[in-house]
Amino acid sequence: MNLENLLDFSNPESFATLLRIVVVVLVAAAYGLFVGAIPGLTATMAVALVIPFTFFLDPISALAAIVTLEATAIFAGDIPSTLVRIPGTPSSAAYTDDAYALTERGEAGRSLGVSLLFSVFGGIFGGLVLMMAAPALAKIAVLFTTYEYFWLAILGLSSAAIVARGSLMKGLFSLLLGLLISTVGLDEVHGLARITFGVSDLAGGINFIPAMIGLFGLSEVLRNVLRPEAVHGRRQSTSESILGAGFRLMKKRFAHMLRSSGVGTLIGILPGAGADIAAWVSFAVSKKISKRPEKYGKGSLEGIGDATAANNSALAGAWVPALVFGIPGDSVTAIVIGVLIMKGLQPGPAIFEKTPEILYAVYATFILANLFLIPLGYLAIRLGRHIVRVPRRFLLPTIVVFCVVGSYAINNSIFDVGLMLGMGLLGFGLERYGFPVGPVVLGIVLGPMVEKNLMFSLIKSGGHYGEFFTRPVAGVLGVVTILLWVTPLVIRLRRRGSSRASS
Amino acid sequence: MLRETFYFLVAALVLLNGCENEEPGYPSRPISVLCPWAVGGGTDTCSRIFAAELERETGVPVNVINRIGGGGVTGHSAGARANPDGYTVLTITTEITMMHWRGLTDVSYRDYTPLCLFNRDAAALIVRGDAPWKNLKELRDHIESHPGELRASGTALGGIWHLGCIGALLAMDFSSDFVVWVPSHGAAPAMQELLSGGIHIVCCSLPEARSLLESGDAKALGVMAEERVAQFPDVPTLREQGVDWTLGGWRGFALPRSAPPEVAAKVREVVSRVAGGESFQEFLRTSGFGVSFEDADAFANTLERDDRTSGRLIEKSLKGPSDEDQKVPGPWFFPLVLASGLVLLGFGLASTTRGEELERGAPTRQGKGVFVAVLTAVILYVVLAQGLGFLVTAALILFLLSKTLGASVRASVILAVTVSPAIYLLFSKVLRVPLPEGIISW
Repeated sequence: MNLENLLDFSNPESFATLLRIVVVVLVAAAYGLFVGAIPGLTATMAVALVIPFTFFLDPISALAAIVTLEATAIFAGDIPSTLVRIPGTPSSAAYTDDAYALTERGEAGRSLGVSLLFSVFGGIFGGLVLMMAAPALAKIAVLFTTYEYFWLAILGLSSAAIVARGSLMKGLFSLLLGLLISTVGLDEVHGLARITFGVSDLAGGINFIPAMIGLFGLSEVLRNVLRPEAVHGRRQSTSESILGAGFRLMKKRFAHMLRSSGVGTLIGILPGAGADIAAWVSFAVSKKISKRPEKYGKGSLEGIGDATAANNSALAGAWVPALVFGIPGDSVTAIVIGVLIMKGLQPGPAIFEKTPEILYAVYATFILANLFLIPLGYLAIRLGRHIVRVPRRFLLPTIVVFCVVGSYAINNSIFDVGLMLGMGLLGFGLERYGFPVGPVVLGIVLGPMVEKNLMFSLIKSGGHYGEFFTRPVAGVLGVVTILLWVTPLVIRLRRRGSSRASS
Repeated sequence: MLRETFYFLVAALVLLNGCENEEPGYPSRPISVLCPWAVGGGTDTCSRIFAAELERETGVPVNVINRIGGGGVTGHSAGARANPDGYTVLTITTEITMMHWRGLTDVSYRDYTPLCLFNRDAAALIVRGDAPWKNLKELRDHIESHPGELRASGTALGGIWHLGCIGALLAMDFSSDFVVWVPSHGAAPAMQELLSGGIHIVCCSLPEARSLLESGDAKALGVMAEERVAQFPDVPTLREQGVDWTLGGWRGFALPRSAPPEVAAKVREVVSRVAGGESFQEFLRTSGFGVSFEDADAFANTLERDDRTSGRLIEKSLKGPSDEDQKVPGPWFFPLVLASGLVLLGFGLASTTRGEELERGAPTRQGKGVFVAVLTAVILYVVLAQGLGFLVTAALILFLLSKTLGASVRASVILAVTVSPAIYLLFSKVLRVPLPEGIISW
């Protein structure tokens, strides 16, 4: 069966297949929205929870369910992120502060509308790229070795410096703190437990999910309760239509949206960098070239749109190396490979020739799922928006319980709840003195990537640093990264020099 | 109206709780399968399919819990400490015979009561499809004439495939540093490194490399099994090529050692029946996992034997610094750089800004009270949740917090008795993500 047959409605068999996909997509979309919106449950978790079902489903339905789950869960992560400042999935962390700032101004509907439509666009863009260029693009993944990943990670860290609002020094401080936190636990290179104080729970390192919930969510609760009563009243949502704002911004920023989706897809293709990093990088690029960079971090719809388009487009990107080489682009596609093999479909170039109908179903689902996301996501936003109206004395206790459950659920560990509390206090303290928490989160994500790829590279090269620059892709990435760090410093120094001279 | 709702809910809670008092044989309540590896990996997938099969067989809900990190240390340690009542079944993997030798944990295979082993995959030596070596002998000759030149990867330092590589080198009468091991985060990134030319050899199981073997991008020079693997009949064993060495990774089920013998016997019967059953075996076969079933006694022997092998290999090759270690920054290099950066920045910040607080307006007394209440609530949860369970603890927190925030007693009670069960239902029943059970569960 090929694509034409699948869309040939006069053929009852293909019509039945299409109908089955539609039903699966609808059910999975509702489930994915639900799981993604619950703090602590990631898109990977949403997919893992349905693994036992995929065993009994036919291959096309199983893959359709997975595609839909991840697409909807990643969008749904924006809902709690926007409304109560707890990123539902790590991919929302890059623009949590912007989205929440809009909520505080009574513009939650607008923010979520932009999230929804840009997510849909990014998701469809990624799906189309996967459809048209998977085998060719897979070659990009092979260009990346530990040297290139090292530079990519450093480039990712640069985005924290760019994103940091206010003082650059404070942003860097937060970033270093996050990186330091990421070194806790067993060091895989030397096989040594670091900064664990003999606690076996710490041997596994600082779990990222509870840390994120604490730094963003609990710290906000703590800040909120200390605020004098007069400042409390969050403004009610304006009556502006949810989708209207999104559509208008899409029209205005079509080129940016394309660029962001492209960036996201490319990062998604690289195994070892996924939707979360895609969102950070796209947000940073967006700020860097924006005419109004000062709005980023304080409620920039542009930044939200660009980042959310990137994280959704990264999802399809991750399927590229998974389908072509059987090398997973992220944790969801790792599950996908397992499901494919379970169904007797070995990923690899042969899958494109032997069972193209499976691939057509994947492509079709990426598009279908994202189209279904528009009405379902709209409904979710309509429902979710009411959270803001719940009286504070009922809302805050519930948020605290969700923080607790969310940090417990992923690893079933009470220790993680304590960790969340510690991170909540840390986040509260940092923000009180004007240190942003976003870079801490980024540092925790990228720390292992920076360190491991540095160490792995040095082991490979026998301790020589030359290969960080002599490999073509690594060289380019290295030079770009260094320029990115040096240029603003030079400009700043010169500006300081000239302002001193003039005064 | 509100009052009626309240009474109804209390009645419902009491009724539901009253449903389980006697223990009519195993299992009579939900079972958890504790997996020491991350969501989405091979061990996780096996655990999840097994959980679904166990649920179908026994009729009680079976959930998978992941305790991850530290190269399996966290999960295996948590498993050894788990409640030995038979309602937490542990998935354990080869790493349990290795971690204690490397001083990462005190937990060893002796801390478990083995139930059964269900999967074993032999290590294989894999090179690029266009590599100049056609068989193991040619690779062996190359290593002999160029010791220390080739790079191999496949897992973290001291991981199972690393031991496989060391064992093969030793069996060829080479020293373990004749091939440099590059740690990696599993077999998939190692295969990618192989493709991009960063390394020369990958040591991992054949199914893990299947896609690239089939496409011809990679070729397997030998598998460390007793005999050829059924799904890969063209790959010769090491033994066939004159190298007497076998090693494989395995997965199995176990209970904590402290499980009473009569509990262990009952669980062993059920778990072995499901793990050895047609449906689970079919899953393993179709998914490319090496099918191998061992009952509790055979599994116990395997554990003992592998533990000895791992000990020998680790003592010989991973103790003490190697030449490579001196060329690479030590484990504290990165944390120290970061810490110095933090200190420097801290000084810089202290000299330029005088700790100005950003929040304007003094907090009210009530605000401070709530602040303390939030902290207390989370601490309460940490202390009480394991004993009292989620339902009671969460209800307590909700009541405490909403009361402190100025809600009436009645409203606080209503919040507590509606939201807590709702969240419990959502996680435990709808999503099947277990929460602490404690004194009330249903």
